[in-house]
Amino acid sequence: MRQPYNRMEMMISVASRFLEDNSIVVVGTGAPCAAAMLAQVLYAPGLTIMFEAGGVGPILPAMPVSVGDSRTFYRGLMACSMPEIFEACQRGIVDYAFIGGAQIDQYGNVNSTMIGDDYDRPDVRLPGSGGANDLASLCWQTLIITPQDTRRFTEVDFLTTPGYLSGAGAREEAGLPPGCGPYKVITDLCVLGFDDTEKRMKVESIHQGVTRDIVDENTGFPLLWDDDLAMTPAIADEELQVLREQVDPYGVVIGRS
Amino acid sequence: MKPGPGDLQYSPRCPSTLRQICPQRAGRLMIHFAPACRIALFIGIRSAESIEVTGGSTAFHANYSDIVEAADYLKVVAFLDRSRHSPRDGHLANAPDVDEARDFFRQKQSAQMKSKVTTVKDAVSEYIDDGNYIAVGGFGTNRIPTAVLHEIVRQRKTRLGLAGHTSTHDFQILASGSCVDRCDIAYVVGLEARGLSRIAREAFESGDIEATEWTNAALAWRYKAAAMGVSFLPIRTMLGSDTVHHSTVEEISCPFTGTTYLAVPALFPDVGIIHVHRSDIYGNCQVDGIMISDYDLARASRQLIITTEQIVSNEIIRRRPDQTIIPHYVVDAVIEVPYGSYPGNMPYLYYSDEDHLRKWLDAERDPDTFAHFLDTHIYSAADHWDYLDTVGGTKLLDELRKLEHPESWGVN
Repeated sequence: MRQPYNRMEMMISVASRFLEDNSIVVVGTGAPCAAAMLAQVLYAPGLTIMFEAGGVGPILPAMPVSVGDSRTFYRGLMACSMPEIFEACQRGIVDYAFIGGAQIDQYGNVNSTMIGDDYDRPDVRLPGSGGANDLASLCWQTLIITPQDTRRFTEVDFLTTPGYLSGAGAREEAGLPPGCGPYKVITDLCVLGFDDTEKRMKVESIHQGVTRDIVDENTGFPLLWDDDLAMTPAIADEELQVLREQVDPYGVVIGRS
Repeated sequence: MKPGPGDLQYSPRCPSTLRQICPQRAGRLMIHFAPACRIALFIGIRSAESIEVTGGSTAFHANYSDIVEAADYLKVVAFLDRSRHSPRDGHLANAPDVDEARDFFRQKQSAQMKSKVTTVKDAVSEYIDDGNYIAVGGFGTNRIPTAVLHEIVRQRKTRLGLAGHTSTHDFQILASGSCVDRCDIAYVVGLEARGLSRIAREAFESGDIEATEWTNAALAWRYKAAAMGVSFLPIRTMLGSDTVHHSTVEEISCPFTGTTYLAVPALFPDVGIIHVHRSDIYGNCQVDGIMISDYDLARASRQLIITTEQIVSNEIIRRRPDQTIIPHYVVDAVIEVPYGSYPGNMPYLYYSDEDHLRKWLDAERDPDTFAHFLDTHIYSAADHWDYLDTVGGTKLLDELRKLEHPESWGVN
């Protein structure tokens, strides 16, 4: 019998499958970092993990609490600076940005700035871009990991981090480097990609035990569906074991679900 | 006169970046400058029905009115008139005036190789004035100058501007003392995976702090422009986002390729505050581990306060000059503060105190509890040693030292 797992463990396990070996990824705190670490153990030993504050290629002894804490360069390849990391992204050498998000719309635009309709008097002030806008603007492919519900999957109150903006060609028109954009959105219900013509979110696979209705009910905008809609491969015991024993032994991320 | 249909209104913030205005041919162009603005540049040929210019520093009206008469399109940039600089008008007060900065750095006395050793109390009272714009080194809960931040709160500094460049616990401290009234935001309010600070959130939600929006790279590159001595840098982020609309950037084209960029203005903070591993008495500083943006921040700051885990002899610095990342000639004050980043992490020395950071977030939920919390840890504490005693003293510090060294985990 398969082991039970929580939704954070599921999202991280699924997300870890999308990073190619021998590529370079800049990760955000929490789930994105855990997914990259899991990928490094299971699928991509040649993955170079970077953190925006300057940590490069650490052998992480435990989950960092901050993307700038000393674990992000523990036994690392380089301890450099924030300009060094973002300039590498701007030069085009970084394959993946791996981020989370508060609100996300059908084009993969993310809001982490504010909830409400008055910028000067927000209902909820959120932290702001941090490095998310920079990473999603400059890295070739952006992976976004976030739980799915109608509060999060909706029109964004503030466009902090560019997805495909208003559709195909909009990023290039705005002056962003061509050929980049959101690649996959990994949620607790499904994996979404983006269709070629409109650059709108398209469901590619749904997780075990999830139905199309459940996905639709938890989305605040119309979704496209892949003709070859697949079932996300089940979470393997090996994924859970590595995640729990090596990646996050103290439950910093997976214990919070 | 009230604007009508077809009229174009433009109210540059101060400083604004270069903006080209093409008024509709039939309409009036109405430009209103904030009181402390002076107008640096007005060029072009006129086609608007009329152009009204109000506000700004009246001393400059005469200079541009003649040019305006002949202008068809205008290029306008508003800079701060330093003779009229009042703290409130100083929102975004750090005009990227590189020639003014050159003059300032030329006369800077602290460029000399002399002892700059002082106390936290004296450094804060001497270098930080109400209304100043400050920038904090490190990364929110990593290598932060906690002692100086607490002293700013203790001395009840007000109306400070802040570069919110991953400003997490550092912002939380300043917000707790209501010290800040304007902020260039890249990342504030949150403490990364730890959650959101209620005090910090409310400061923005109530409108107490005026916000301007950026990204981490944009602020890092604004420091870099200042460190380079140029007034802006072209960048390829922020484009297409709403961040642009709450910022002071301008779209430009590369003169060689036509590539689109955003120009971000150089940021020269009035005071920079950085915590380092070691410094000599002159301010030659070495840092172990990641630099974040402190290389550029140190050079961009008009005044720079350094706290250091240890003051070392000049000879120690000279043995490894390749490790020196901040030279004495940009430093104004040096203070030895062991465990100076606490409750933040200090690479290779001690890890962050997650329990204390959690208690701080929890205490914010109730005003009375929080007032008591601040009184215990900041207002009633004489200095950083006192603060460390209130949280657990040497036993706690020993635990944090062990946490920083994973190779010793599980070894007794």
